[in-house]
Formats: sequence, structure tokens, C-alpha cells
Amino acid sequence: MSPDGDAPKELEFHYVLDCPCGTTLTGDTEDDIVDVSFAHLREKHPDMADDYERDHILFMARRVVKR
Amino acid sequence: MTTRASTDVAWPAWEDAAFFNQDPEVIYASMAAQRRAAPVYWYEPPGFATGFWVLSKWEHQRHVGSHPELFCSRYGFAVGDASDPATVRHQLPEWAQQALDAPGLTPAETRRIIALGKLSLGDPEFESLILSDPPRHGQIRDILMKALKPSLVRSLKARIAEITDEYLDAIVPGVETDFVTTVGRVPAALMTELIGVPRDMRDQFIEMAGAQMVAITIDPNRDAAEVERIQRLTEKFHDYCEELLTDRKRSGGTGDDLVSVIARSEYDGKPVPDGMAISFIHTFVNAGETTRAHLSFAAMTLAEHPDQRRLLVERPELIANAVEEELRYRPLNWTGCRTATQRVEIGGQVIEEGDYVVMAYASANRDEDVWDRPDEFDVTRSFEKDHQGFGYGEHSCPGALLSRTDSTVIQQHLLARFPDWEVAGTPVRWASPFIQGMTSLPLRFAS
Repeated sequence: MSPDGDAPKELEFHYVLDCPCGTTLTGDTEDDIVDVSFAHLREKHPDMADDYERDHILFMARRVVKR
Repeated sequence: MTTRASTDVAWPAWEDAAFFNQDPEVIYASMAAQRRAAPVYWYEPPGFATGFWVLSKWEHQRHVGSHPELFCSRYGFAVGDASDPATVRHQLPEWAQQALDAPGLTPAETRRIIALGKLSLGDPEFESLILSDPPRHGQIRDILMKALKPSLVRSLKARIAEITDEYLDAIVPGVETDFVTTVGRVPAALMTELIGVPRDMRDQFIEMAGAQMVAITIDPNRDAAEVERIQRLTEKFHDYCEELLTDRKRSGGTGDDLVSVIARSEYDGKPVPDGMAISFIHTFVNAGETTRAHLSFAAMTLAEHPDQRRLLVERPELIANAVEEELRYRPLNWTGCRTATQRVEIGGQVIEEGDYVVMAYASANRDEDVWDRPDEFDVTRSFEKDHQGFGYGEHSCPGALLSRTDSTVIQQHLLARFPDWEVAGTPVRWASPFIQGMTSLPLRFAS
């Protein structure tokens, strides 16, 4: 139940990843967050781009309620 | 305990531990009153040599966190660092006391000596992650991030679950259990394994680590006996960390434990200096201790909101989201600080070069411009925007990934095993203007 006692609302989730540099990245699907994260790595942290794989990104990403 | 009346609610005494030890509802009402009336506020605490700015809004704090070139970290990270040096010098090492006697120190330089002194473990050459700025900060942080890399954290989920189950096995339904010293210890127990502390030393290690957590907050009002107790435990802790490091270096740093990883890491093309290496061990340990505090507050909050707890039992896929809400609703860090590197305007106020800037994280987490129904605890809350529970920017918590993983896995197992609990006695919370924790949380779990 929500705090006001209503039935559970339908929830939509998305993926949020906080890069250690402080940038917050978001994507609606696993593929989205992986793509956005790799694009960020290549642009801002090219020396670390090869250190990460898809499952690293997915593990760091948080699946949280979107709205 | 409060400083100024605005309509009917007094404003926070940001420097005073007594303010932060009040009922949380009083604290948050006080913060809200100031946030609405004076979101960027110049505050002059009684007994402090200078005042500081308090930023209460989420948006302003994000601006500060994302601009280290405008707001640096080298001149202090906590409110207490701006204390009048005369009131805190006895808590500092000899080198720092002497440095404070130098003529012509600016307030910012004085803060740096106090901040570095309390962290330095007696080493005047000590370089601290939390007191560093780009590009050095990135170099230091990289060493830590490589040690706590995602692949390691991911591999720990099964072990976190095993340790959690060991503690849950010991819980007797219907009998009072202190959560802080049982399930709450899972993150610290895991960390002692990762560091490589022998099993028979773990309880003692965790006790020493707890003192270290308190020591990073300097407090002019701390009584002499407590100062002595903390100093004794932190010295013991430091000596033990030094032994661990020496041992790993002697064996060539070839092990898988975190101390071995640090022992074989490089900084400026040379082995990581001992002082920095030991400070990393402290950071690892603090990660375990802060997660214990987070879990304790989470367990208390879920006891106070049984409808939300039941929802998590029914929909465990929400637990990761609940962790975020717990960090928003009851963050461990009340505040974080920076120093302006140049004249800058925020929220219509002019902040001068050298001014100390206090970001009130707990207030930003209740900012009504960001959060719908900010004072409600709602595990289904949307996190389109992130809370300030781990700070933001280059200095955001380096252990956040591990802490989130610990918290999620532990709550998954706890809720699956014991879906119902209540507070069985008076929780004992401690708080400074920087951080808070719990020393006791008596709970009673239903069968």
C-alpha cells in the first residue's frame, strides 16, 4: 500500500547509474543504460572504457521507480 | 539547541550536536523553516571564529557538487572543522597543534589544519581523499575505486547472503534482539573478511572501527573521558591497520584481500604511501560501519511504517528502490562542506572567495521543490532525481555501490525470513553535525 492506504499503484521502473565522476545517467531499458553509459565512458573516461563490460554497467545501475 | 525563531519554528544550530540529537521530526521541521525562508543563509555559530553559508536546497547543492573548480574540498569537509581552534586543539596531533600557532593563518588554512589533523594519524605529510581536489583527487580515488571495482562487489552478493543468514539463524522470534549488534553487523563482518582480519579479531576490530567513525567528527563539546576513549581506540586501530599493511607488503601484496590490493597499487609511479594506504583501510571500514547505521535506521523506519514493510514483503522487486528512499528519508550524513575558490552568486546571495559552504544534505532530501510529499516515507517513490544520501559529484561516497548492494541483499533476506517486527525498547542514536548512527535498536521479530 502507499502511505495513504491506497492499493499499490502501477509502477514504471527505469535504470539510473551514478558515474563515480558524479554524472547521473539514465535509461529506460537495460540496453539503454548500457549504451548511455558506454557513450559517457568513451567521452569522459576513455582510459577506463575498456575496464567495463555490459554486466558491470548493469550491476552498477539501479533499477528504481520512474513515476 | 536552536538559533533563531522564524515564525513559530526555531532554525537549526548547525554546529551543535545537541540539535542533531533531538527528535528527527523537530530537526526536519527546523531545517524546513530555514530552507523556505533563507535557502542560502549566512550563519554565525556561537563560539566559532567565523561564520559559514548553509545551502538547504537540492538544486544549489548539486551546483556546488558539480563545480569543484568553484567549491574546493581542501579546506575542510565537516562543520566542526570550522570550530574555534582553541576549543578543539587538544583533540589534534602535536604537528597540527604547532601548525595552528603559525601567524597569519586565514580561516580556510585553519580549517585545513584541523580537518587534516584529525585524519592524519600523526603524519603531517598525509594526503586525504576527502580533502583533495582535482587532479590529485581523481588519482587517489582511482586507487580506491579499483580496489572496490564492480566485479568484486558483484561477486560478494552470495557471501553477503550467507553472512546475513548466519545472523538471522540466531534470532529467536518473540525475544528482544538488538539489531545494531546482530544483523546490523553484517556489512562490517563482510568488510573484515575483505580486509583479511582474522575471525577471532573481528569483534574487536569492529569496535575500534566504530571509534574511528566518531573521531572523524571533531566536536568542541565532547567530554574529556570520551575524547580519551576515542583516542585510545583509534590509536589501537591505527596500529592494527599498520600491522596488516606491513604483513601484506612483506608477502609481496599478492593476496586477494583489499589490503593486498592497496599494497601493490601505485601513486605517482611509486607504492602508495603508508599513511594513504592506512587511510584507505579506514575508508573500507567506514563503509561497513555506515552501512550498519543505514540498515539500523532502515529497520527502525520499516518498524514504524508496517504498511511499507508489508509492501516490500509482497513486492521484493521494490527493495532496491526502498534502499534509496531510506537514504533519502533518514540519511546518515547531515551535511558536507566546501570552500569557495572565488566570488560566486548562489540563490541571490554573494559568496566570497574563502567562505565556508555547508551543504545541508538532510534538508535537500526533504526539498519540496524536488520531492512530492517530502516528509512521507514511500518505498514506491520515484527517483528520477537522486537523493543526497551519498553526496554528489567527485566526492560522492566511493563505497556507495557496496553499501547499496549490502543493504539490498540483507533486506531481501531479512524480509523473506522475518516479515514482521516491532521496536521493543528505546533506540539509542548518536549524532554529530556531520553524521549520525545507532548504538542500540531493540527489536522483536514475529515468528
